[in-house]
Amino acid sequence: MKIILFTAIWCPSCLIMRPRYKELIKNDSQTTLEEVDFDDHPDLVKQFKIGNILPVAIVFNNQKQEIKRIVGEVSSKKLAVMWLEL
Amino acid sequence: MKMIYLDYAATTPAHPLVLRAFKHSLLTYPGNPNSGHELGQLSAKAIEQSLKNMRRALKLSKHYELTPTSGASEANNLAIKGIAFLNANQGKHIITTSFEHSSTIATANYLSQQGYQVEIAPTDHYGRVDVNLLEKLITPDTILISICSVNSEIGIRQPIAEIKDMLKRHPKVYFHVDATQSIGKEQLDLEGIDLISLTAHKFFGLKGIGLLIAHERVKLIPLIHGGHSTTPVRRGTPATELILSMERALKLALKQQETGYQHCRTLNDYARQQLKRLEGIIINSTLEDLPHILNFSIIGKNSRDTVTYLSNRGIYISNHTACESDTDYSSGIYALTHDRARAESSVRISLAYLTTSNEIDELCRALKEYI
Repeated sequence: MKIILFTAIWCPSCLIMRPRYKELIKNDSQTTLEEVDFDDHPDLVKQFKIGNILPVAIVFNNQKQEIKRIVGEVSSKKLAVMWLEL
Repeated sequence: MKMIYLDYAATTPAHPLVLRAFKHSLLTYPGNPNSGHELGQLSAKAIEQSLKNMRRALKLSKHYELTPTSGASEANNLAIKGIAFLNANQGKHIITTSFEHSSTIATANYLSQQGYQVEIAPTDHYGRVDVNLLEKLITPDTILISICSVNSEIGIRQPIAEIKDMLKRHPKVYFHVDATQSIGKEQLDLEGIDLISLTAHKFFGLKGIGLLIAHERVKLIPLIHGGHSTTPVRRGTPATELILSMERALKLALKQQETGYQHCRTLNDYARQQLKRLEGIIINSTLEDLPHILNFSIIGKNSRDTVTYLSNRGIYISNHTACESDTDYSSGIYALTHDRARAESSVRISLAYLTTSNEIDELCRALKEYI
């Protein structure tokens, strides 16, 4: 699986969520995390219909289909539950 | 069309005496302060004296050094990166809040991407840091706590004195305060803080000049390298006329601070009363916040549309910090309320001694038509 994480350098929630996503996939060698800057990539922001609330994590399966979208701040516990449900 | 300016937290118009000081300095001290000849040394001495005068005006002891910067954003970068880079061997843990200026959040995000652990301090329902919980976050790896004295968007005041006291138990942790929205607005005891940022254009000075004030115990890595300079932490030619004009602005601002504060308190109370009469308005700033700033949401109205509507009528307000993003939601209001509707519809008015109750009435009349 692959997570694309849309963040912005001015965004406090991104500061909070970045380590949570890193922690989430720390022991999962099958999943990669790629960070995309909201301001630097307006094309991708448009393509993936990213709204105003950041960060946005889009989870893709191995067939490159979007299977989950997580918007804004989510606790580590809730994130782990969401991950298990995938 | 008469202009109604209600965006003094973004920037203030230069005071005529500040402009006079700028012109006088420009003509009196044309030399490069880094030059060895007499003309250059006259400029260097004028800067030295001006920095000393500002240190005294801010009631700081001789243990502090003032470094002129291009503004508060540079001062914040210099303080946070300066501490982080020099102390990386001691630890990489930095604590800040969700209510900082974008220059602090962006620097923290940059360091986070470089492998530093940046943690956000817990705050209460009003956005204020809980000092007991803050202390619990400190680890042997913590090198810096960076917290602004007043949030620029909502006006949240942080308990700087209490944090300072708490940090006496943690002498290895440096304390940086972005005091940009406090200076010239209300009394703040700066002595004992390791690093302080400020900028002149928030207190009727000129844009392009600010200060990083550092205690002598603090060592920093410069961000701008260059040859020998009168300002060793920030190499390059110091702008004599901007520095001297900042001194004038600072003295004027401190002189009228108390009356300005009372004026803004009265107008803030009046604006709250008037705004509450309008349908769909939720006031986000509390009475505990700095009275110069009043943030409110107009539920159902996009904040950018509100700013544009009022701007077309000659009324100038902000939808979030001018230095933030181009998006039309407020990360500060979202962090405070976790309410998307409030974050997308929040606007800020900011007041100064020049603001009148008639201007508040005009704003409310325009908003009534808009809503």
